Amino acid sequence: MAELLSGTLDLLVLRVLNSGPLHGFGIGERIHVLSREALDVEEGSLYPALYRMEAKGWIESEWGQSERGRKAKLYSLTRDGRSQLETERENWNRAALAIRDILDNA
Amino acid sequence: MSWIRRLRFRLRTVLRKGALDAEMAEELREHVELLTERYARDGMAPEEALLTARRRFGGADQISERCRDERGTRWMDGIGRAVRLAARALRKNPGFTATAVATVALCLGANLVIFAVADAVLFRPLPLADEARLVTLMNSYPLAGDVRATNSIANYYDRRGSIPAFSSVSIYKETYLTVGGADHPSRVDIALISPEFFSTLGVRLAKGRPFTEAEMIDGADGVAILTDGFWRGYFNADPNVIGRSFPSNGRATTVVGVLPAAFHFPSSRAQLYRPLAHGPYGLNPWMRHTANGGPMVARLAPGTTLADAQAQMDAFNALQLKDDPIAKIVTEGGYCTKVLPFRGDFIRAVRPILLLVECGALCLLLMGLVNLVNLLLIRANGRVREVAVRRALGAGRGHIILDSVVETFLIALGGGALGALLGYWGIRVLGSLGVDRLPLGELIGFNGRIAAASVAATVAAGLLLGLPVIGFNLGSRLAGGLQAESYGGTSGRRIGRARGVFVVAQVALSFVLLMCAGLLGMSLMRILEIPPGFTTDGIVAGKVSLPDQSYKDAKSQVEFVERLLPALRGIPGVELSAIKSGLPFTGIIPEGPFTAEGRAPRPGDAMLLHQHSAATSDYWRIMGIPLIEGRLLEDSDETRKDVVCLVDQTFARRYWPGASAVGCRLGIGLSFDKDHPITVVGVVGDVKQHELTEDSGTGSVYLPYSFLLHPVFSIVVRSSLPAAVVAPMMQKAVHQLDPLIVVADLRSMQAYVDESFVARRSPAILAGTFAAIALLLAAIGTFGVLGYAVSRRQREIGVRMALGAQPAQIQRRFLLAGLRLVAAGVAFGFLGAWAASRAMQGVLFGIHPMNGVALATTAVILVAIAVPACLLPARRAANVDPSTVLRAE
Repeated sequence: MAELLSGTLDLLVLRVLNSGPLHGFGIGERIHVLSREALDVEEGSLYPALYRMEAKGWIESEWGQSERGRKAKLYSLTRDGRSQLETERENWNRAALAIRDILDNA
Repeated sequence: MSWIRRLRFRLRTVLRKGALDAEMAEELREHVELLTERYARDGMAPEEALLTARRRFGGADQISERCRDERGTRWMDGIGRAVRLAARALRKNPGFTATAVATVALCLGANLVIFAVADAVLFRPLPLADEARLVTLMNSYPLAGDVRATNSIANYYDRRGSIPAFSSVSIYKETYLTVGGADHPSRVDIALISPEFFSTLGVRLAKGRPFTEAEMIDGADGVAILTDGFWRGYFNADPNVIGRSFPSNGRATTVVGVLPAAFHFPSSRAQLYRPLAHGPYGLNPWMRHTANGGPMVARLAPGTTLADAQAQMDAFNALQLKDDPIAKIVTEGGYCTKVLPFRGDFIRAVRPILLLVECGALCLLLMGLVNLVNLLLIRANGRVREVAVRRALGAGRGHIILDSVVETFLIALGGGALGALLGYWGIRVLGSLGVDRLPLGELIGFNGRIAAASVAATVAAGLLLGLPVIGFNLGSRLAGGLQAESYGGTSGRRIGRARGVFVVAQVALSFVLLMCAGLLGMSLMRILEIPPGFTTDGIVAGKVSLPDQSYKDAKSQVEFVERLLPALRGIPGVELSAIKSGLPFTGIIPEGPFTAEGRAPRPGDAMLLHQHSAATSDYWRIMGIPLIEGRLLEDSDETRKDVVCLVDQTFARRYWPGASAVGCRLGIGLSFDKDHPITVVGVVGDVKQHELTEDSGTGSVYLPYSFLLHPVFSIVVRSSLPAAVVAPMMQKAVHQLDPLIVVADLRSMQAYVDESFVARRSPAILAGTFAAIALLLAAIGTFGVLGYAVSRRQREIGVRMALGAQPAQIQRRFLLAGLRLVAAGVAFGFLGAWAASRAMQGVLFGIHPMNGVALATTAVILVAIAVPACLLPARRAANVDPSTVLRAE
């Protein structure tokens, strides 16, 4: 279980929500599954991040039904969130390239 | 609209804090359940799964706390806490809170009331297009004593289109007529106008069309343009009103247009408009200087200044004098036509006094603020230790600032709300003082602008009051505050001095306000002492306008009057009745030139206009106007072949100085006509015509009614019963003679006279109110500062007493300290009053700005208020019990 690089949680959450609304548990699960179980998001980081992003207007929440018919708070991406996802994705790519350059050439 | 979403989110987090917290708890609980299910699916036993899930999840409380932080409501919670804290502190000290809130409320209320008046009269734009380009044209014959003469209809036709500086020129004349049939006649104010009147003002009709040139001719003028109000009231807002007809003065009149609801012509209460129709004389040069027209309003052409317009107007008049048959006479009269800013000219009479009262209100506001800052600082000083402890325990500067501001804001809010109520009420009271009869006064009201002003003032007051307290709280040294020194020591010499300055400033300001109020009040009293030249006791008067349809000729008018007078005398309580055209204090009186037989006119004399009016024989007896020599007019004079008249003393002195006027002869107009002489049979006392302050003027001529027929006149009776009883009976008596006639403005003569000094009385009352509030504030301020000084120095007083000081000595010490401040305040106030009274010289009447009585009275009143305010704390100081004080702490 690798620790998340700081600042990447927002990017991952945005990316996961880009495919459709999810509740908090589902977001953590999806990240866990998509990373081939390499990443495990801690609840203590996930929920504050969700609330922060909602305050910034990137995501919005609504009470609805989860896939198993339970009441759940579903988060979805706003238009601002979508553009934020693009920005963060670019930033990440640039940073990743830079790090690889350093690792390869140093 | 992402900011809207963000704002909604923020608002929700503040307003629905409880619900959100519950949602969050539920969300987290769900999460734990899902986690448990997953572990169970992975093959754990149910209990183990739950335990593992809980362990993994960690402290739900910490997570919620962090989420709450992320929600960004910490600072909002902080404000909520500060509000609760401040509210508790304010509740704990009701005396202070009440004083502070009342101060804000009084000052704000007073300012709102005055602002409402000043805004309506001086500032708010009229609903006319580009009001700044509207000008008034006014003929003036200054050397003949007639500065503000009216324009003639000939002037209108001459100037229209001839002066490039004006893009549009119009003329109007205010009058009234009777509307409706015999069953429901009512008198309405109207204005007679030229066709381009509305386009000059920049007003588009809501319906219909303006008047045409053809409708300006007598006989073709049976058309009307209605105001929105009249359209709604009389025609029930009929959408097809154009073309409908209604009786006005007994004649069918067709509606051709309706004005928009927002239309308001400043000088006029006119409810409908008719063409200013005239006979077929239009451009006749002989008619240029007659008074048959009215005020002219013109619009400056684009790019033209007032000075350009005046220059072109002067050049035009110079050109016109060439074919003016009375060029010599008008030139000697100093004839010119003034081009004046429309609104400025309209409000010229009330502008200085309004600005003065506005200054007074601002003064009061300043005093209130100074007083409050003073009280707040005293309070802050008393809490130095509390603040110091809180800062020592880690309260940030932000917290201290927040707490100070929240408290002053609560005070400002409370005071602001109360003040707005006071203002609302005050504006309504102003109406009963007759302020709505000021020019543009009907626009005064508690409207959106006033509401906005009160909100702005409340916020500004909250901030302004908070600043000194913040400064004080942040400026005080932490260590110093924590030491016990703060009680009983000599804390803050600088602050003590600042408080002294506050007291001096308050006393000085209230001195100035009181002095100004005194001067205004004394002016008013001087005015009220002026004899109007007649008595008002038991006199009731009203205005009558004979419908032109049924009273076309002289005979019918005279007949009506002959039936009217006995009918009025038949009313119980009525002793005498008369009719009079141009009754004093009821409005405009006609003026015209007269020529005395055998007397060579002096330069300018020919243009000299004299008031001429008609009256029936009992008029002078009813009004108590004294007969100086000769005899009064009698009923038989109405039918005599040779016309006789009365003149007043001013007239007699002017033309026959040192000789008897009785038997002398006059001609009407610019020359004496041997074939139609008017013989003076008596001289009566002078009478004030418009207001008590007017000078004696040029003199008046009184003619028998039958010789100066006019369908508009006043009826006057002397009765032993009150006006409220007699007035309806007069109305009824007239109605019985002719159901189409309405008697308007039926009221006591005293009421007419009272109305004439509304513009002086209301400012005096307002200034008096301000001065009273100011005195109260000064007393509170002085008392507060001295009382605080005493309570702060109790220990010192105790020590002094323990060492042998007598209570009387202590009392004297504190009393003297207070009186020294008061004396300084009076001295500065004296200087301020000198400046202020000089500035208000123009609005004073018959009184020197530095009137000794006013000054002395002001000083005495101020000292009478200030001495108890100093004495009470000094007494308390003398009553300090050393053993109690020294044992405390």
